[in-house]
Amino acid sequence: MVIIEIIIVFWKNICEVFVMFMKIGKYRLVLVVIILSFLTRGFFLATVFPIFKGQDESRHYNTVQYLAGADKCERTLKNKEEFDLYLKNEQKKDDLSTYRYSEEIKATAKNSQSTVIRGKYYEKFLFTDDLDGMGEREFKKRSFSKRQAVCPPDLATNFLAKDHLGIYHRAMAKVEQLLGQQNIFVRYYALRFLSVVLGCFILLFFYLMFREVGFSEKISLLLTAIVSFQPGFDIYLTNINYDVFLIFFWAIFIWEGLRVVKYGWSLKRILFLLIVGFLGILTKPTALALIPVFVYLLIQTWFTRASVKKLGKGWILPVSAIVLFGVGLTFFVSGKIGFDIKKNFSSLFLYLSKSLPKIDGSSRSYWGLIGWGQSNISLYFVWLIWLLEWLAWGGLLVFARLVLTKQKFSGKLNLVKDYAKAKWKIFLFLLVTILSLQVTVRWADWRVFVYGGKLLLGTPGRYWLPNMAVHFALLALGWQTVLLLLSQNKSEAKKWLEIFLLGLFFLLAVYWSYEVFAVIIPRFYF
Amino acid sequence: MKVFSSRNFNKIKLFLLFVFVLATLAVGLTFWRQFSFPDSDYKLEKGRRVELGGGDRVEQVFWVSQDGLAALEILLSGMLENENTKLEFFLKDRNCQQVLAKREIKGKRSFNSKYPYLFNFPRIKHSKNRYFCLEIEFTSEKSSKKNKIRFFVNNWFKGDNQRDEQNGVERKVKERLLKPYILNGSSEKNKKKHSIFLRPRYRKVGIWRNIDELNKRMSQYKPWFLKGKFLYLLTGVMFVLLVVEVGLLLFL
Repeated sequence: MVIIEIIIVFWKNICEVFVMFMKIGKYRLVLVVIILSFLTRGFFLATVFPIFKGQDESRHYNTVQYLAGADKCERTLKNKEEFDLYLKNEQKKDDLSTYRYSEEIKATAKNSQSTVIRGKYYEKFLFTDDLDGMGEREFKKRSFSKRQAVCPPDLATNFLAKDHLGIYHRAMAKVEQLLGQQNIFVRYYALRFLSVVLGCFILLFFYLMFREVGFSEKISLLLTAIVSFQPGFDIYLTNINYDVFLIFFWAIFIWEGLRVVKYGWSLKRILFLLIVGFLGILTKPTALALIPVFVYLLIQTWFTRASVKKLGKGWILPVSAIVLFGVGLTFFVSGKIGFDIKKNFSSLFLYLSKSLPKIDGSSRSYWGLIGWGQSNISLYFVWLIWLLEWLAWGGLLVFARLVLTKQKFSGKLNLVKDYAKAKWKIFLFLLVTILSLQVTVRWADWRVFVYGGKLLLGTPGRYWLPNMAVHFALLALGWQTVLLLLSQNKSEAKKWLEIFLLGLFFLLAVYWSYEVFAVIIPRFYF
Repeated sequence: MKVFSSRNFNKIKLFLLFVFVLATLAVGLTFWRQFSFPDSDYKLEKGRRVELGGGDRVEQVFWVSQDGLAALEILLSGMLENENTKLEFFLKDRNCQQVLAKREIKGKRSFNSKYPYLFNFPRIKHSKNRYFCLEIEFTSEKSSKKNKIRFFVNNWFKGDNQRDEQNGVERKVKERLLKPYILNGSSEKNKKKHSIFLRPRYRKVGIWRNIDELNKRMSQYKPWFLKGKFLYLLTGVMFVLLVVEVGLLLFL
């Protein structure tokens, strides 16, 4: 009965999304075009990237094949010495055909010259004067075993899921089975396309999130279009990778979370958030970061209901409570996976001293900087975006300052104060979401740092992609604050924000075009 | 003080569109500048490093297998330290006499050997089965440790009928793609035992034939629904939707 109820709740919420979509007024067509444009660009990008080029894509696809196959390879290390010897002597970093993958993946890697994609920039494919590559036609006619060639296989795992294999790979394994009769290229690119299709739904939820933050339809559309052109986000959603599922569940969670902030709790919302959060965790442990966000929502609502706001600085209590909860949760999860925080605490500062100076690199890759080629043009785009980002953070400082002061203002400052007060709860919720992901990823990075003795995982920009829309919502609040300060009235500031976002959209569109046509395509095909 | 005014919103939008169109054209131009296809028979590698000091000149004769020679890729490292340093590239006939194309780089500039330097020149219509000569000349007033240009050499010229087993793809490497390079002069004693790593690149006549070549390359190792005409269709729809999206957002 409980399961049926959960399914009904889930279904009702999905229906609600469609009803909301149908309610979108005269701009529905614009949203459809933004999503369709993203879809075709995603398909195009998925085509531009050669097979196995995506981040850990070969490993994710191997996991899918492993789950799709009936013949399960032994996953425990029976003979560790022999296995270590294999890693040392047989597995070559740049050659996927030597990895612990299925026979079919290894053969495909060899046939499709995959050493080129992992090799140096100037190494190029040997092309034919035909639509088929060298030996491609014959390769497609042959059939290869999908059995894992070496045990234990190289899999993308999730320690919180059943058998340590998450639901993304399980779902994709069903698709793999469905297309079982097709050659590997059809199956592989079908999975990539599914990521792009899922990306379209993510964009839809982003739009709904922007609306819940309180932006107008026009501004929400512009923000959605901007996100859809963010190269880092766009490239990542063309990959076979469990992050696609993670970002999807994350987006739904935040959207529903915003509705809780605005309209309060209901049993339906609690269930929905729990289901989506749970699915996220079953996809990738990063979604653990949603637990503190959920708890924050509970605390914030309780304090609001109890009229704690009358206490003046009542916000300190919920924030302190969430910090305490976050610390407790970190200790709890660490204990569960055998990571002794107390014992390793001294290494935290060493880790932070090594990790934090790399924050600019993390931000560059977050903004989609690929860095192939001699030219610095992509970097100039990122610098420009950083400049605009800092402008927004400046605006948010003013925003926070005005809410936290008891001082009364007149004129523009009063206008901004009213605006900030109206958005304060939403601002805090978005900020907690950002901080929660930051802490979770850095905790995981620190753990790996302790075991490996150096920064092995790092914090590449892709780890922050789930918060892409949250980040943009915060930035837009910051820009709106700055424009309110500079404009004559609220409506003029709104109009200026539209113009500003249009300019930002153009900037991102040009940046995207540059990355695709002047960097990515020349890397592989010129 | 009135900082921002609501007047002229539409003019600003049009100005943004104008800048956007210009920037898109610049991206197109950058794309076109790189739009030439490397010769698969040449393999770039970092072999032995050779330094060029001020006043040094190096010549390399190489074989071209297709018509439409349009660029050369050369692996270089080092830097030009100041305004008085100069690096010149010449494309010459097989005897290294007649200059067919020239490029001069002057002033402060560094080269990263991770990425090949692209020496672009106007397309040579009949280049198939001919030898050409690349000449690199380094001019510098003062010699310092920093102020050096380095290139990489290999011994390919020895490799008659080599077979490349890379990736399991067997291909016959043409005989004598590259002759030994010559440093500072044309006499036999200046002839070295190696050749400079370089790679010719070709361009076809007209934009559409080049796009067709790109389409062919992008189609390789792809499923049937992403090959040839399907890829054209996808790209076409993508561009149409891009234009529609820009238009709709502009007049929102």
